Amino acid sequence: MSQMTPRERFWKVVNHEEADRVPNFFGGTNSSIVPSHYKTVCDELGIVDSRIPVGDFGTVNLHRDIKERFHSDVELLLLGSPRRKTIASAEGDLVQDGMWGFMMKEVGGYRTFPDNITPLRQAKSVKDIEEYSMWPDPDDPVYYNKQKERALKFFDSGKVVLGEGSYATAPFFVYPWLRGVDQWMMDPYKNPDLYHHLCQKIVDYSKVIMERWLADVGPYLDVLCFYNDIAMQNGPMVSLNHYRKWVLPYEKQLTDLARKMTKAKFSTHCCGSCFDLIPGFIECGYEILNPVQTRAKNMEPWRLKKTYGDRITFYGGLDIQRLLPFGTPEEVRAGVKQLIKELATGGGFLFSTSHNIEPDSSASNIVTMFDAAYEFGEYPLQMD
Amino acid sequence: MYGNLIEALGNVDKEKSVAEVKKLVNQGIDAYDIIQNGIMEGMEIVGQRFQEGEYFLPDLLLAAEAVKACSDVVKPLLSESKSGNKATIVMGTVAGDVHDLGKNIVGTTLESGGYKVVDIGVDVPREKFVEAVRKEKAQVLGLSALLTVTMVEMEKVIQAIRKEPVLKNVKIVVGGAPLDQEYADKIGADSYAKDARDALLKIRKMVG
Repeated sequence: MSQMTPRERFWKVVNHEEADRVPNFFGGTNSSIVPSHYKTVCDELGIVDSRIPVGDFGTVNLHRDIKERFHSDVELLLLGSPRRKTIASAEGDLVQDGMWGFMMKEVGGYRTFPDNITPLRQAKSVKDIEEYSMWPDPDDPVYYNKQKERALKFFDSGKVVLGEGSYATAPFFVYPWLRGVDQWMMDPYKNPDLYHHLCQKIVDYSKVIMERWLADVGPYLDVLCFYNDIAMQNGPMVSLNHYRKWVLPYEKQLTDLARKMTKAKFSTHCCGSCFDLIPGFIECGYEILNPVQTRAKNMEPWRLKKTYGDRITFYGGLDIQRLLPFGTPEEVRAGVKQLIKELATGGGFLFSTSHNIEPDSSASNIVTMFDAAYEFGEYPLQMD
Repeated sequence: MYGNLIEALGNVDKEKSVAEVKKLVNQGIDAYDIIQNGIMEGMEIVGQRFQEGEYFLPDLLLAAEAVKACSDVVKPLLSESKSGNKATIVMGTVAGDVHDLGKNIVGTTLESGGYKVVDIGVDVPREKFVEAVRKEKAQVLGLSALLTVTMVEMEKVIQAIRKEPVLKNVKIVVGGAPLDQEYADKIGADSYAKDARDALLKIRKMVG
């Protein structure tokens, strides 16, 4: 098969056909390297990156040289974000998000969101929600500055353009970060009025920002990324019924609006064992699932492919919980080969890691993984 | 005698559970027996339904709240109870990690099982674990981690505890998403608990 551009390759595969090779989506959403490890990997590969390259989720927006080395097919377009503030507190230095006002704590090189410092933790009523003063300002030009030019530049490169709407396409990141993940799960049953009001508030602001952003960049996007993260290692946090009743109606307001503004495929990010929720994701309009944490319960590649392979494309999957940090180079090669064999037949698979690479994965294992993905990723798949 | 309480807790009905506990107290039933034969049995049903996939995290969190409300009624009466307090358990999330949802559920479950639980929080340095175990004279230490990069810290905490001769009998239980029995064995933990119910059963087996 003759060589395709990354975009041609992506559109074949996402429509469940085989292309010239399996697309490599490392460097897209939640498939990067955490900042505390990025420099080590660059140094070992002799790559110089003088930027301070941290994206919205506390991971690195990869330099083009490293993406080239790893054979990546993607360009990541991040929605602009307002400046964050550092605030001293009894908990140590906290970082306050400039969009929604939630608090973050840097721990172990990763940005985390402790429940006990969430700003709406004490809210008891709709009135308390209304009195919150840190809602986003959709007129802030920082969200949209130079986005169209960048999107156009990425589009012209022939690479796959992933639009990361950040905290404007992640209402169920924002809710727990404003109120605590425990209350996010209990509010529907204890305080449904507050729950609906806060969800709608978050979605209304998100819609305005997303709509204005997509008006500029929508025509150039191949993928638009949404996020929810509602599963754990051993199963979903909530049932499929809970998802359909309490989550989907809000997420769908965003996907319905976005559908009118872009032909991009919609990806949702849900870590962990989300196998049972996938029918709900499909109903919501998501066509790609990321990051496919294959060590979680029921997330074996063969099971995913067999059950949902004709309806959704899998993005990610190469295990970073055991294989990449603790495997030998031979095991990593074999793992890549197996993953491609199980997920890529007939298209429907975008190769990447099962999340951002942490400092326990050696640069040599990382290189081995991407070289193996390149070697075994050619269609027709050469599998014994 | 405990059937209504067990059923109410099993159905995660907080108001009804508390009312049933009050009824039992008014009947003069021993506080420890209420915990052991009523509250714990109700929690056991919740745990089973969670493991069987009927209940999810919201149910578990709401059940933990119901259990806490029930415990608040009987706890003041425990000192008069025939059995008194069980072992003390110190628990926390290891350094570099602030995830605590699972740990908190485990803590509430153990507390409702009659143990004294001292939760020393998240991102806990290893010296602080040693200090707390010593100060509280704890028989059990529970360590939690969500990330592969922080689970390695557990081994260091275990080594720090094992270095102290006076703490040599402390039982260490580890848990968290990336862990399994094999890893727990490798780092020298006494036990691995895959969830709150498992933690309770294993700790009961080790220290009664």
